[in-house]
Amino acid sequence: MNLIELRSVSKKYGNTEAVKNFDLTIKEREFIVLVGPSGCGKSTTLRIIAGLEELSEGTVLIGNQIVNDLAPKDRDIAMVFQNYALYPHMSVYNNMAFGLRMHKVSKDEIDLRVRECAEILELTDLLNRKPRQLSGGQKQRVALGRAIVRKTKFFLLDEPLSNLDAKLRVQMRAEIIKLHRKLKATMIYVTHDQIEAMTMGDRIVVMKEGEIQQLGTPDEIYNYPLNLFVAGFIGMPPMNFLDWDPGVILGVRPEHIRLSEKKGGAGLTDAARSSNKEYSISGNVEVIEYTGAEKQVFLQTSFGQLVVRTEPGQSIMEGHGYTLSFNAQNIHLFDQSSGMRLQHGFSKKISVINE
Amino acid sequence: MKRLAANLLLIILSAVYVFPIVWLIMISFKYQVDIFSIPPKWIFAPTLEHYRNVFLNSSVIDFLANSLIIAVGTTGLGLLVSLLAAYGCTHYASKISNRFIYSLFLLRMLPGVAVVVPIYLVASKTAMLDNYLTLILVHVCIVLPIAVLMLQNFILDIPKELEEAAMIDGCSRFGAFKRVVLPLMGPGLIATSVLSLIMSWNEFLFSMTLSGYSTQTLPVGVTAFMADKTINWGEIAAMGVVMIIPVAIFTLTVQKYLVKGLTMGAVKE
Repeated sequence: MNLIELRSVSKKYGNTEAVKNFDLTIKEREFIVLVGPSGCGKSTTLRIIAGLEELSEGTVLIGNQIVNDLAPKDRDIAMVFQNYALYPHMSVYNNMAFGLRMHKVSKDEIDLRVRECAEILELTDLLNRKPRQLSGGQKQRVALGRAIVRKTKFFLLDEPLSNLDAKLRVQMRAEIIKLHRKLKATMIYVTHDQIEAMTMGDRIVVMKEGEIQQLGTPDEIYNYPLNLFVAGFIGMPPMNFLDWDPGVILGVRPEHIRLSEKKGGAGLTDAARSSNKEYSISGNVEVIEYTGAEKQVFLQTSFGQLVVRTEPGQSIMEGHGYTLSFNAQNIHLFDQSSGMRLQHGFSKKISVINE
Repeated sequence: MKRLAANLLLIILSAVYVFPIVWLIMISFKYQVDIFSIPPKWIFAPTLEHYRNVFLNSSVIDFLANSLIIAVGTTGLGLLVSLLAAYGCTHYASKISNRFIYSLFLLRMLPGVAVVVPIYLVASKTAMLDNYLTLILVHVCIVLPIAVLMLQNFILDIPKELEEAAMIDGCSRFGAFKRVVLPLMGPGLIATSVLSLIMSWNEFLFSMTLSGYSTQTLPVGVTAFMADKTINWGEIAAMGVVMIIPVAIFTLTVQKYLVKGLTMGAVKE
């Protein structure tokens, strides 16, 4: 059964189109992530599903029912907001109980569910506190608790981790994944953070300017980006782009390039050589960033600046010339004018959205 | 040194505001002779004569009751109307609603004297003179612009996600308003009601024109002590004191919220 379906959904604000002709089918129990830079329409899409935003065109289906005109309260959804949106005048307990009370759940049942849920999220000691007495991480957990206590069929999460510090974010990321498995619910998760998208999503929707750029599993998105935008957006440090042939851009990820000592001197760049399997170019090291687990080496080549990830043990010196080589299997070719991927060998594996 | 200067300035400013009240209270306890003595007497033999006159020879209790009915009625109705107007203009914001808020201020820009005659004529033709409802409605019009603007600022301070969260949790829009927005507006509602209460309580022009024997308010009642040839300053002052007391008590009681309310609109937490 398809739990949620969006059919050619559009949302206009005056003359600007926040979401354009959006088609998406979300399966039951799926963890789907909408990712893209700010202003790409991902939050608007989520709010359309929630019923907080009216759509300009198209149809939204939940189950097999068209819900275009259904109020949020009748959609059997729970949502976590970026700023948590905890009710400031209510205790943690009442924040969590509020939705159940509105749905006329019996008092005993409410108590049972709130306590059970507080247990899961380690909030038991905080039940009598007011939101202003909580730390950011605790507020975040209450916001999650308020959503999961409802036991709705699906959960909408709008950048729930972006107000947390880096360490807590990683921790909560794992918590949410665990919750998803435990609750067996459908989750729709909005983020601008490509790492969150990659680590959490069963499938990822990459968006830009209100349009879907690519829809696929993390593996598909990472290894077979459909266009230059997706290729550059997913992955950190981002994919290197080289003007290879006229009209063709060659993309190669930093971890797929090997550095080796250049034979025969310190000339800045030589012409590129390519055989069927191996590409190599030469470049000069400009900056080395050491992160502990790896070194990120920035090199200047005749194709522009490139970044390469290397083992921390490999000795590399700034100002020296190296040969960069990468395997033909690991390259991505894009059309310069349209930005679209040129290789079609794996097009069967990926769901092509854009024409 | 800076502190001293600041304190001095505060003392001077307070004196400016407090002096008329102190003067009023002093007059209300002075014998007629002392009221007019030059130089003014700071130390004098007090008397309750004027208070006796006020309470025995005038319908001050009726005036007080009328004032109370009209002020409370104005505040209640005014708050209800302005709350809905402010909420509507905030959440269904459009060019029209924004202009609507500012057009409300036209009501305030017009001098009262300019509209008092037409309103009087309408009230008299519809047999609405000497009627609580007429006075309450007119006072609501006076209070409305400021109340709407104040309340709108308080509503804007409440993140809209709170309402959305409530709507997803199972509330209708009105339910979210009632259960989440309204409880959070406490200080704002108190600040607005104090303001509206005081404005209605002190209003003179319309109360004077539109009231009759049975609806005279305190400010209008005061004029009873102004005869053709004599002005009974002692009685007027005593009545002034009577007029100040209820509002002062109310304001001091809610002072804590009032300060919070008046600053909340301006400062983001």
